[in-house]
Amino acid sequence: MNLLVLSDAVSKPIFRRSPSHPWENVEFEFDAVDQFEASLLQASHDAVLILLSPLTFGHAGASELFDDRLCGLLSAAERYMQRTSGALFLNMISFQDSVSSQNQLVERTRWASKINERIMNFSERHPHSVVLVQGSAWCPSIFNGQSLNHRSYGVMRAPFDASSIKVINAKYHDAFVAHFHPKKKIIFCDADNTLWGGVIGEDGVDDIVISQDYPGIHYLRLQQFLLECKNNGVLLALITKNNLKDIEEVFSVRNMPLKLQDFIEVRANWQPKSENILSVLQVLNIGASSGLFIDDNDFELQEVRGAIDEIEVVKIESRAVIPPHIMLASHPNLYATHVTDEDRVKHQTYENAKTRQAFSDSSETYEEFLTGLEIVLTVSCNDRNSIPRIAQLTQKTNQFNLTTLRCSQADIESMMDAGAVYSFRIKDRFGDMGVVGVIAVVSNVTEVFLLSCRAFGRRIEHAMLSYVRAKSESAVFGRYIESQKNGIAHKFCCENGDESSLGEIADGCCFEWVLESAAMHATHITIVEEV
Amino acid sequence: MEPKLIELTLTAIQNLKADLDVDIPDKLVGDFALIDELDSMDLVNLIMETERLLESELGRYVALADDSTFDASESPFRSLLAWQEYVCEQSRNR
Repeated sequence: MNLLVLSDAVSKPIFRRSPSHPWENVEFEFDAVDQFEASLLQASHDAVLILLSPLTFGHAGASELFDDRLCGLLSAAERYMQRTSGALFLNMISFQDSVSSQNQLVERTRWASKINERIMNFSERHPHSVVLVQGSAWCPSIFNGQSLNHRSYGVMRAPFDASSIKVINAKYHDAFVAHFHPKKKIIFCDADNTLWGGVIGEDGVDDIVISQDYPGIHYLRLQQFLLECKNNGVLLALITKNNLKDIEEVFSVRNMPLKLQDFIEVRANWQPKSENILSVLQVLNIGASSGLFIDDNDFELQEVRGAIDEIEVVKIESRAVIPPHIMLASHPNLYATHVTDEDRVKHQTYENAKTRQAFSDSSETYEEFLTGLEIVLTVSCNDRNSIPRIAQLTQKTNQFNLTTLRCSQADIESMMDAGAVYSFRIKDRFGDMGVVGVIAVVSNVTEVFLLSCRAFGRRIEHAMLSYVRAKSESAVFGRYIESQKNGIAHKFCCENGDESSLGEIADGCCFEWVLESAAMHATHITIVEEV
Repeated sequence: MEPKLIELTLTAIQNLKADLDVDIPDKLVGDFALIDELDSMDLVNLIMETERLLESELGRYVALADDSTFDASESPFRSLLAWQEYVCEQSRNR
């Protein structure tokens, strides 16, 4: 991925790789200082990183001049994003200068707020492409000028000292990871000394610590943070070595931010935590690498890490200098740069899936189960309102994804202009799963064909293919590109593609889709076209 | 000149080798003209890296950039030896 860095200060020394901030797969290009507009108007990079130093834009000495500069910069940025599918990383500024009076302090602070308001409005107009970085993180108060080197700024336009360089690099790196790398899908939470202070089995329900006072405040804040994660689309599972009835009692008696129903799975027993975690991952059909385990106990952390390679583990220390909720809030794979409607109902969607599974277990035959679901597939074609969700699906779907083509919103728009992008919304008697399937047909080839793993096992993919093939007046061809995780997609291609049309269905090749096979498997699904 | 600081200046150059757009010989000689071989961005890079290592070594910040830094006739970058002498002098003065 090529990343263009623009700044009003020398930036090359700032964005260097380190073990903690490796900037994986990134090729940096640094343009000359103060070339925002000229560079943005020509840029064709995957992403642009803009670093505004407080000594330029935070200086209110010539406010109209900087107002024009900012307008010019944002206008050029807008055109860059329209022209490319690139992402833009941009910091908000903090006021950083000496003042001679309180009037000036108020005036200049207000000025910085005005600039930030413009920047925030700009980000809200482009919620999927613009990522904001907190500038205040490396700019302490004006009474502590240690982060800014005014002399170096004057001589060589390098105002940041070693400590602030580290913070700047870290903040932009984490923003980059949050935007481009998949978010964690589930947090596995311990209970005792993680969600509250104390041990239920020893201290009793009334004496566990969670309150507005120290140290209880840190447990309170951690629970609030976890609840925010849940509302942003991250699932929570409770994994605790306790009796279930004690856990149920705590949540019913104590008034805490988290309720028992906020957890998609509760495993309160005396089995190894790794076994419980693996079981939950299997039930929810989530990969271990999408999980995060938090616990205060080193033994438990080691046990889980030893048993489950890909899961990430984080130690919770409520009395640490950096409280747990602050530490987790800076985890780039928990930060949500954009929350979709599907994210907001993720927990409910999985609850519906569990109900569905229970129904499946009670059905005598598979066909009876499928018919009993009463599935309705609503199809939209080139629905511009669905672009964010479609792009998100291309970024996140790995298993049933025939080409693993990762698309930005601009890419989806281009495909809509060039062909037909079908989005599929699934409802059954247990709930609405939202948009979970996409087929993009460009020049009679299904360049994107994916289905969220949540919708597996109901032959939705057959119905999708059947619909698209019926819509086309001529043959439709598929493309399969092998990845580490999409073996299930290859199987589907072999079952529904015509090998004789263009040879064996191998990596990268095109083949003709066969209508009859897919249609036969999807008779239990009602297809509705959205007007 | 203090050996530790001499070593530090060479370490800074080696640390930047991957980032610099020129070939830096493995063994540098005293009359190696940094200001001719490196462009202004690279020189800024070198100043900041050397300042970082100095701060780590000495436990205090030592400013290495001033008006003469990029002046071809006076610049401490006119040779490696001049740069090393400059770094040692600035470290003593602060």
